[in-house]
Amino acid sequence: MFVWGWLVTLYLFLGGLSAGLFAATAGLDFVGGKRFKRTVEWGAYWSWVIIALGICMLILDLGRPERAFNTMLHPHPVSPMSWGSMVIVIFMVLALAYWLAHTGVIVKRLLKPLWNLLVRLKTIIGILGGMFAFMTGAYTGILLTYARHSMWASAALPALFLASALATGYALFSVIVERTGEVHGAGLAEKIPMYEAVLGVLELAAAGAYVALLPAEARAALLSASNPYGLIFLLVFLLAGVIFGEIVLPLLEMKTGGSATLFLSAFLTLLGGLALRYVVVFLGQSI
Amino acid sequence: MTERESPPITNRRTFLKAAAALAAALPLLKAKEVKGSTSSGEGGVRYSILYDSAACIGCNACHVACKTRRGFPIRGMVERELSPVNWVFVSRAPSGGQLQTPPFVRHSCMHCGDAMCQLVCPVEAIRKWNGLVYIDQSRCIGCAYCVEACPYGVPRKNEGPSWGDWAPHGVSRKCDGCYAFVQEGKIPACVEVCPADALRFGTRDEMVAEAQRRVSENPNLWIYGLNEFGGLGVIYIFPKGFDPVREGVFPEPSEGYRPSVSRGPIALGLAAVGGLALMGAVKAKARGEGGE
Repeated sequence: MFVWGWLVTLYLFLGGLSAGLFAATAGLDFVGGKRFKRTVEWGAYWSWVIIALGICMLILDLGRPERAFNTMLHPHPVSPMSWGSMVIVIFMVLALAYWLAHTGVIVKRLLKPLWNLLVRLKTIIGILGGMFAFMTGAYTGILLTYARHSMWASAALPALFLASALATGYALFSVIVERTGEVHGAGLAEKIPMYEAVLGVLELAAAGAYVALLPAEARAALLSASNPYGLIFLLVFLLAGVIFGEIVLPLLEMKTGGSATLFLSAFLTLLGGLALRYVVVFLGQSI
Repeated sequence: MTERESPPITNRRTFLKAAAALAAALPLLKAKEVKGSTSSGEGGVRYSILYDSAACIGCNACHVACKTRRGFPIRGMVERELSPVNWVFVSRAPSGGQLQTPPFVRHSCMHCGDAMCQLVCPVEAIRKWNGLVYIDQSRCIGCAYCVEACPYGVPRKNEGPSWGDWAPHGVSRKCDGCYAFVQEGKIPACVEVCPADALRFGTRDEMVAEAQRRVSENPNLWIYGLNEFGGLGVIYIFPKGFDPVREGVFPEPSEGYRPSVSRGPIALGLAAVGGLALMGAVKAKARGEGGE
């Protein structure tokens, strides 16, 4: 019944997660420079590792994985999947280059000229990487809007996926920030939950637009509490993920000044992001 | 003489004559094939199939003939679900609309003028030969985007074992209009065996003319497929009182790919500009504050 299953769901989730994490990491790098060295290194590292994992999921889902390179060898410019493949591969290369430019792993000793070039182009790679991160986040939604299912017919789906990408990526980023502890004392600690709440509000607005622009039949299925997918959308994504994970808990953190709920907030945000992709992919194919 | 008894426009002899001429001109026709084109006019000819629901007796000889020609498994019962090894079948519509008895409906590839499967295929594995939409199985990567995009839900990914040369494992499969056989001067297997003159094959102009002739002789019939999705390569004749769109058998033409084709690049462009602007702004602000 389901042509696209868990592998595609995970690919959509990981693509967005990586994109959001990269954007937040590059942003912090621009703001703080060497003060946040370890945070930026870890953020850049997980960005390329996660997008590489997502690409692996996508390739594994192919009926003929050994032909995956056909997307590069025989591009079809009018196909969203064709240019989307280019976007995610370029994004992965940029994320990897950004990580290498910050850490110098391998290239520093073995490929000195490449290392020098990466260091010199670090800022440009960061800006371009941020641009491709946004494109990756939106593309996963664009991909679905071209298919025939009414659940995917909302023009706001790319915006919702992009907003979710930024929120989930930022949630993982906030965990990295907490683990490295570099922002404490740098005057940024209180801003971390504030930006999370802002992203949560943006995602809530995007979710509203997505639902409003759905065909009536799809909207009814999505908002139905008697439908298991509808329940997951309402309870896991909207209530637990966006409202609690991205808005309420970060606001509480801002008020109390602590980070006791940070991990719970990040967990709920990531769970909500995954639930969103799950519902969109599976419910989309069943109506 | 009823319309069913009249000499067919494309009887076997005239078709073979046309096919011989076509074979001579084959290199030219191949040269005219436009990969990735969505137009219905690639090549000098656009072939089509005419399906007359009012004439169809629901015997499913077309279903068996298709499977026989491709060497696909034939099970005891007619398979009323398209699959990688079931490219065509006939069944009664689930409801008849204003008719007491639901009419027969042929389920197979429509060979759309604006074939969405062809448009979304990321590797140009879906092509057209004189209007017949086929999948180049040697290039297909099995992403199933065509399966998700086809408004009629026709292509199917072969998740199971290979069935000979026509349905290898892992790739999308669907009716290809027997284009390889047409190149050899044959006609589609389904048309060849139809005992009720419910199926015809020829150029689209001929099939439309034949459909119009049948409808003009029987005012209780009407034509579907003239304009939907760029004009279908399968022209349907249905009894009046039955609308396959209203009965949910066929999709709304407005839900097609065409209206949204520019949506993707616009959304991606907006995301790119947004990302570039945000990253640039953060960098500029940091530089202004002496952050680096």
